[in-house]
Amino acid sequence: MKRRSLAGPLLLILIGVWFLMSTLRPDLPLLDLAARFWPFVLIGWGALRLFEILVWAVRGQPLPRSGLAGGEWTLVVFLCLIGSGLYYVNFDRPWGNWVVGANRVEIFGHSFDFTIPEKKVDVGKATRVLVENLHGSVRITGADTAQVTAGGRKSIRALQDKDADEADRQTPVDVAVNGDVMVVRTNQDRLTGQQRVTTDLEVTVPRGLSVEVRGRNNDSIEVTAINGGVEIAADEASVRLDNIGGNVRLSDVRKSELLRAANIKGTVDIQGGKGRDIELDTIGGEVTIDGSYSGDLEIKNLAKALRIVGPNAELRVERTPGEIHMDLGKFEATNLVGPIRLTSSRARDVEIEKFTQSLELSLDHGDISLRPLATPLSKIDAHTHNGQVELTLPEKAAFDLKAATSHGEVSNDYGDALKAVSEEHHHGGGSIQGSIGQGPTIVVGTDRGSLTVRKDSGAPLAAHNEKPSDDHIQPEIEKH
Amino acid sequence: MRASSGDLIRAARGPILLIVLGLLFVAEYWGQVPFYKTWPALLIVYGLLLLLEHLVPDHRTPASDSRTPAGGSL
Repeated sequence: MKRRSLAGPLLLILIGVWFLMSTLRPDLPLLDLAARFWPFVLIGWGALRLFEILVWAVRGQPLPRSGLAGGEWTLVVFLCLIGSGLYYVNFDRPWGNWVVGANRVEIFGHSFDFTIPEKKVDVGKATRVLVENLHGSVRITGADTAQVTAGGRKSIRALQDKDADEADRQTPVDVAVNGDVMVVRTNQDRLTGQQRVTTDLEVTVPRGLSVEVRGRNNDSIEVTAINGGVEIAADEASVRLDNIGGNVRLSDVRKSELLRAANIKGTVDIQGGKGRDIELDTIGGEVTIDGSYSGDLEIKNLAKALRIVGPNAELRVERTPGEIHMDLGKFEATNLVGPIRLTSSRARDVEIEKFTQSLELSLDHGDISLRPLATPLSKIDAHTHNGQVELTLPEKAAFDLKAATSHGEVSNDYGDALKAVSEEHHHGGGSIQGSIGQGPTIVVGTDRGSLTVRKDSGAPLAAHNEKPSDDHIQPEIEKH
Repeated sequence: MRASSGDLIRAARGPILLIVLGLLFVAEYWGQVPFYKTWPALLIVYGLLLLLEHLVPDHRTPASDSRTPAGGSL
């Protein structure tokens, strides 16, 4: 007779019962139970095996060579790892309870919707409104009123409706005056259970107030038609601002799909951010963007200076009557007022059309295409380590040109008016130098890439954008 | 044929270690004695069981050695 232990089947039954309970009775704290009581499974298992062995020995049946087989030890090791992992996540860390609880609520819970009863409070002497909402969206609209109105809806994820009701009671939306600050709070931090509360807040405020929004994980924050300043601090949020009279400040928005600001009379200051897209349109004050953005930056119509400081690029433009489009691989701009300064340490092609005042440009990798359009010209100093340089100068402009490439072909539209030198050694290289009239110094150069100086025919830039083919150089550029 | 005491101790070794392991975790969760402090108890118990196996006289005759490898010996 082959002896089989009862431990295997019993263990299987226990696991089956546990999973069955977790699907039939999701409200029971089964994960907590498992995390707390799993060592008893080891003890029970060992005791059962011991008992079996003693019975076999008493009956005189042959004993197995070892009480637990190798496969069983493997199972024990897994049980220990999973069990202690569960325990530490569940009980040992301050946020452990939240993670496991929240996951359970995520998996087994339902979403319950609540309407937030509208609250109206007179502003009194308050000059500022502070809105605190950790999870959910915030929409603030300025209006001709003397009251702050807060309403909206709440979505609560919970295992059962009485949990959701409890969570709703624990997180009332408060509107209160505190000195000169009007505070609108969603009180999500008062929640004691494992429910997840998302509050979508709609607030109407008197137009003249300043607005401050504090969030954590917000889907979106929208502020419209406010004459005062706007300050936003959130870890995660898409931000849309429109028609703001004061200064705008966004700090530490570490995750955002879109930051959009339009029709801002004051300054725009975006600090320490990380995200995808930025759109700025019609800004009256200075604009500072400090952070890293992986998507598109669309900037239009800035009356004052723009400064962008990123991990791989730095830009300063005195005024932007036109527009700037920038992404990880490209910088395109039309109609800028300098002084302009751009440095980029990652591969990026730069195309600037119609600019005045001085331009200073320094690239590691990437092509440069410059077309100042306006006369008289200003000082230009542009250099790339690796890429083609194309300079298109107005037909009647006066300048003093020093253009050079170390490895690449040279092409010159001006003919004998400028002195073009092509070196005949194996990797090419050459320069174009000379003065036409009395003009500013223009220095352009590349270490590796073709150099083209064109006479502007007035056609749009895209039309003559065919770059000279350069079989010798191109593969080397792409390698980097 | 009867199993010797040595066989019994050897067979009981695994289950006893398993029980001790479970107790150490219980001590951690309920008694606040962390496992990283108590794990050497496993070595001590294992050593004691080996010692016990040696101390018990082995009565087995060669003919009685008909143990099957059931239980999956290594």
